[in-house]
Amino acid sequence: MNLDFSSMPQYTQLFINGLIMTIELTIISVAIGAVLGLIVALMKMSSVKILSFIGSAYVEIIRGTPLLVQILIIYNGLPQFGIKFPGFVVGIIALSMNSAGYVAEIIRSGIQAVDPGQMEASRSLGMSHSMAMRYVIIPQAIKNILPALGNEFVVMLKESSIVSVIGFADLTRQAEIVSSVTYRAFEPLIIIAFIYFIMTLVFSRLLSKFERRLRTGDTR
Amino acid sequence: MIRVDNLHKKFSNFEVLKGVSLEVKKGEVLVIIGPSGSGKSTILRCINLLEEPTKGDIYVEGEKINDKKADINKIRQKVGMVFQHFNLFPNMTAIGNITLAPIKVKKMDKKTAEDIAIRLLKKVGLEDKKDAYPVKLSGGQKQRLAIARALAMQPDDAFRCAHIRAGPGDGQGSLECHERTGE
Repeated sequence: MNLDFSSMPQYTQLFINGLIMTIELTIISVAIGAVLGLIVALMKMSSVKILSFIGSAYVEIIRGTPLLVQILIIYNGLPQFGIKFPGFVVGIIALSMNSAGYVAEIIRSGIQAVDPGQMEASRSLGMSHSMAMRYVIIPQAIKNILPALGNEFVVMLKESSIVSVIGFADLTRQAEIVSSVTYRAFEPLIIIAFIYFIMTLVFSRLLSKFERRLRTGDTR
Repeated sequence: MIRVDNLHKKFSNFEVLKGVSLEVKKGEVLVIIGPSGSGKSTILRCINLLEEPTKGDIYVEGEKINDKKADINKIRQKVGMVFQHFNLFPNMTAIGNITLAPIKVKKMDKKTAEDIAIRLLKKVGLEDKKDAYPVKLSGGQKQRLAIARALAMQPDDAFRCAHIRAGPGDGQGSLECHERTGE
C-alpha cells in the first residue's frame, strides 16, 4: 500500500474552484427548485383537474426516474432536436427540475400537515379560503417546510456530484482531473469525500440548531 | 335568530341527522345533549356550513344560508363558533388570535381591534395572558380564549360545541361547563 498525499497540495486551487462550483450549483438549483416546486405543489393541490394532473405527473416522473438519466436526456438527448445548452446550464436545469419534484412534495405535505381545524376556525371567523391560507395556514406550514427544505439542500450538495459526468467542473470533476495528472486515484477522491462530509456535517448541525429554535414555543 | 328546518346530513351511507328542526331566538340558550356520535356537533357545523346539509334549510336572521347565492363569508361573521378542540392559532399570541379576523375580515384598525380584544379578555378573565401563546394556556383557558375570539367578530349568535365528560364509575355523562357568553 502506498498512500502519498505529497503531490496534492499543489492542486489546492483546483479543489477550491470545484468546491465553489459545487456550492454555487447547489444554491442556485435549490433556489430555482424551491420556486418551481412551490408552483408544482400549488398545481397539484389545485381543484382544477388539469392543473392537478400536470402537477402530479411532474412529481411522479421526476421522482420515478434516475437523476443521471434526466441529466443525460438534457445533455445528450435534447441536442438531437437542436436544443443544446452548455454544461453549466444543463447542470442547473437538471438539478433544479429534479429538486422541484422533491420540493413540491415537501411543500404539499407541509401545508397538508397543518391541522384542518385551523382552516375551519379561520373560515368560521369569516375569512375566505385564500385569506385563511395566507394568514393562518402558510405561516404554520413554513415551520414544517423549512427544515425539510434545508435537508433537501444537504441532499443536493451530495447529489450534485453527478454533474461531473457531463464535464461540469464541480468538486468531483476536479478530483478526476487531479487523478488523471497525478496517476493517483485514491488520494484526490478521499480528499473530496472529506470535503463533502465536512460540508454536510456543518450544514446539518446548523440546520438542527435552527430547527430547535423553530420548535421553541411549540411545547409547554 | 336561527331556524333549522328538516335538516338531514348523510356521510356516505351513514345518516347522522334525520330531519332535525329547531329554532333559537336571540338571547335564548339552547343545549343539545346526546351520546357521542349522535350528531350534536354536526348540527352546529351545518349551521356554520362547515358541513353541507344533505337536505333541509337553515336560516340565519331570516336569510337562507345553504343557498348557492348566499355569501357564506358574510354569514359566518354573524355566527360565532367555538370548536370542540378550540382550534386556536398556535403561532399567534392570545391577543393575536382574537384580533386577526377583525383586522383582516372587517378591516378594523389595529388599535380598535386590540381595544375590543382586551375588553373581551377581561370578560373571560384572561387579561394577564394576552401575550401568551395558546400552548402556554390550560384547557379551560384555551376554551375561554376561543370564546373571546368568536365574540370579537361581534356575531349575532354564538355556538359552543359542548364537552360531555363521563364521571368515573357512574357511567353517566355530566355536562361540563356549558355556558353561553353572549353579550
